[in-house]
Amino acid sequence: MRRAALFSFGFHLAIVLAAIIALPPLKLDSSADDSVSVELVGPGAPQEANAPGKVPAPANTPNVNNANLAVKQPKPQPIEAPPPPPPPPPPSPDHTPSKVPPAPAPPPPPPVQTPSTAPAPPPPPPQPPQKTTSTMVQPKVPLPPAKQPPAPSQSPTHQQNITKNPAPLSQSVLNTLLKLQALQKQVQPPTAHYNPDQGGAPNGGGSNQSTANSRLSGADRDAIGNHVRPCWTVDAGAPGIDTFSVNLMVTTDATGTVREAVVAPQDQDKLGDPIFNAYAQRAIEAVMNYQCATLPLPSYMLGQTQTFLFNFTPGS
Amino acid sequence: MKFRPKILPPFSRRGLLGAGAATLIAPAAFAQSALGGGGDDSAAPAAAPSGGSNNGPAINVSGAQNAPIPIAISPFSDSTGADSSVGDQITGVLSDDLSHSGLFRTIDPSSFVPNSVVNNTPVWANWNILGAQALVTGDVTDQGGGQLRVEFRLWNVASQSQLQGTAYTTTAANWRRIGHIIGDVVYQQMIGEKGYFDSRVAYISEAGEVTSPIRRLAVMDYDGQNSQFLTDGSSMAISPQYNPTRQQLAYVSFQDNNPRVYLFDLQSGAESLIGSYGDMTIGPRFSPDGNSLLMSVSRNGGAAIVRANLGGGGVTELTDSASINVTPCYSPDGSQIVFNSDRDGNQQLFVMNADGSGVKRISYGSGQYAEPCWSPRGDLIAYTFWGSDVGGFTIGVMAPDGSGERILSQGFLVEAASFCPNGRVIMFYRQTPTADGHDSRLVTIGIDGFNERLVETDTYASDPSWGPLLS
Repeated sequence: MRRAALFSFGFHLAIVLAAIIALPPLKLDSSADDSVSVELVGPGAPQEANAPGKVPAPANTPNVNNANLAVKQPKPQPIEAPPPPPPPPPPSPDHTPSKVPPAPAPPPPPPVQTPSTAPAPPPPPPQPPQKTTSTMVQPKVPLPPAKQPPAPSQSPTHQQNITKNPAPLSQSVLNTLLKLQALQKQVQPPTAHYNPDQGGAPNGGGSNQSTANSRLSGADRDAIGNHVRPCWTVDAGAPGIDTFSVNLMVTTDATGTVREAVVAPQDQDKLGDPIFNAYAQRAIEAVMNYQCATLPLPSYMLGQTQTFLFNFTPGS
Repeated sequence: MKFRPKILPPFSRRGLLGAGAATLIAPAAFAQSALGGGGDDSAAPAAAPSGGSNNGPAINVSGAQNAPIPIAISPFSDSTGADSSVGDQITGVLSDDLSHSGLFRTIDPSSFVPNSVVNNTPVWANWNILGAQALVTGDVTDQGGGQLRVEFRLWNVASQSQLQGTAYTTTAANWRRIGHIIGDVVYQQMIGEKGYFDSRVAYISEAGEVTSPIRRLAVMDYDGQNSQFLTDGSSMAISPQYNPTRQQLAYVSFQDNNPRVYLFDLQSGAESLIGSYGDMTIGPRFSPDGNSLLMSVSRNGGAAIVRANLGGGGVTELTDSASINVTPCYSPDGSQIVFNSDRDGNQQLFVMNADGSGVKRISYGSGQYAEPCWSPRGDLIAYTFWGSDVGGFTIGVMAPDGSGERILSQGFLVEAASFCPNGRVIMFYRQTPTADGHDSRLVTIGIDGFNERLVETDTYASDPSWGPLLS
């Protein structure tokens, strides 16, 4: 017994020493300082500008030899590197700043009223042979409805009961695994919703430049353009603005509301011009403006995401 | 050789439509057609809303409005998040700069939702609801010893992203300039051009009796603040010009009752006479590099335009003095000079090469043109015009070739147009008759003729000359 205890003590001591020697030291989580990282050293000379309205009398006017002039005021130097955005505040029940799109997740779209001109849905893929199990056997005779457990309020995968610790005081490996399994089990309903209308890639896939413009008639395009026009503003004094034109790839959700707008690839190389960049940003602002973002799409285009090509020009 | 006409296929509207659609918007269908999988009939439906993988014509949005950008400026707090009087002053300057430019519409702070910036991060929903496209936040830290640290961030509300974040440390008395500098950063980020808020203006302060006014050389911030007199008024000063590259002025002083051009160094306060070339020298204008000066030399009843090298070089005569040639102004690239001459009978505007060759008249209005000023952008020439047709004086602009002439403002007397550093705004002075004489005020106006604003000065003012950006 004593030998076994000594052996056990020695063995554990060896393991601890090996861990201290071999394992790298723990590093403290050095939280990055997200505030302004670079400081500006102010100019040496003090500011000597007069306060507004305190114009010195002529007798006190600095003469030509007086070096104390307002224009000698020190020039603050801007920090070149902008500070990174601050860390997001802790979540609070009132607001949750995050990087998710500004609008809440749209509700599940209503069943699409498929008009006669709507595209035919793609044929469903062939179903593999289903394995019949005891739980999926359909009764051949009508039976009274079985007593269902309380229906999941948000998702059929919602878990009602939290798995209990099977044996809190047990030290067996099996019990540890059961605890781990219990911890890893999904205890909250999923936040994603099944969207039955999103069958396959929009427009049949293809490159990321494909758009749904071809599905719009000329009247549809005019209606959409007229809808966005009130939100389309420019800086008329910008040099060269009369020659500007920017193409945007605009993505709408199932309700026809714009969720994303980016400059089309053919105009990306122009963004190096800051004036054109400002022009393009205004176009994005126009189509993302909450007053204009819900596009008057034909009904057969609702129910799934769409991408359209827009062209913004300043003139009429 | 017998000519054999090429037989064209018969015109088919249906085929044309089908081919056009296949070519323009149905590459897949076109390929299928080419492979024999279909003809025109199979290509045509590709244009129908059938969910194909084809692109169509873009949705055109045109007829944009010229509207300012709605921007929200959250009051700068101190480092603890409490209200800061200096922060309020800085945001006040910033708000005035942006709104007075005419390119921004600052949203009334009283409409802000409380606590809309938490830990320096905006609560986006609270700014979206105000219709703000951009947001400025910031704080001010008193670092002791008279030093302020001002940190600001510019946000794009729609994309919920930070566009700019900068911190400045300077003396506490420099808070007004910090506001201007931040304004220039916001301007450049949102407009795409450099701003003009952190700049100064030289002008002539006018005081005293109408019959014996005291005219002093003065300099101020572009918005009329921090005004400083540079001369004591014992000798009349007129026509100041700001050197575009350094803190230096040229102006005409009537010392000894003889108008001559002087240089005034704003760093040292030193003043020096520019040569002695004739009876009098007037109308100085710096070259774009600031190393030479154009001016007019009165001689034999006329006036010649000369170029004086400020580095100690000689003087080059660019025009003769057979007529009155005055108020020259360089183009921004320094290759041309616009000036005012009566060589054709009355005062008109002319353009010549920088060496005096290739003189060409560009104005033909039935009146008098004077004091041309070339825009730093190079696209416009501003001038003063008066004639019987307009019933007074006007400030106008035209293209360098004389085309596109248009009037921006007019009045009893409007003169001395000067462009801001980015060429978007013109400052001039407006004289209005009063019961006891007249008043004279500085005015700014956009080159589009909108947003005319009075510049508040402590005294009557005239002859503005807009200087370069300080930073």
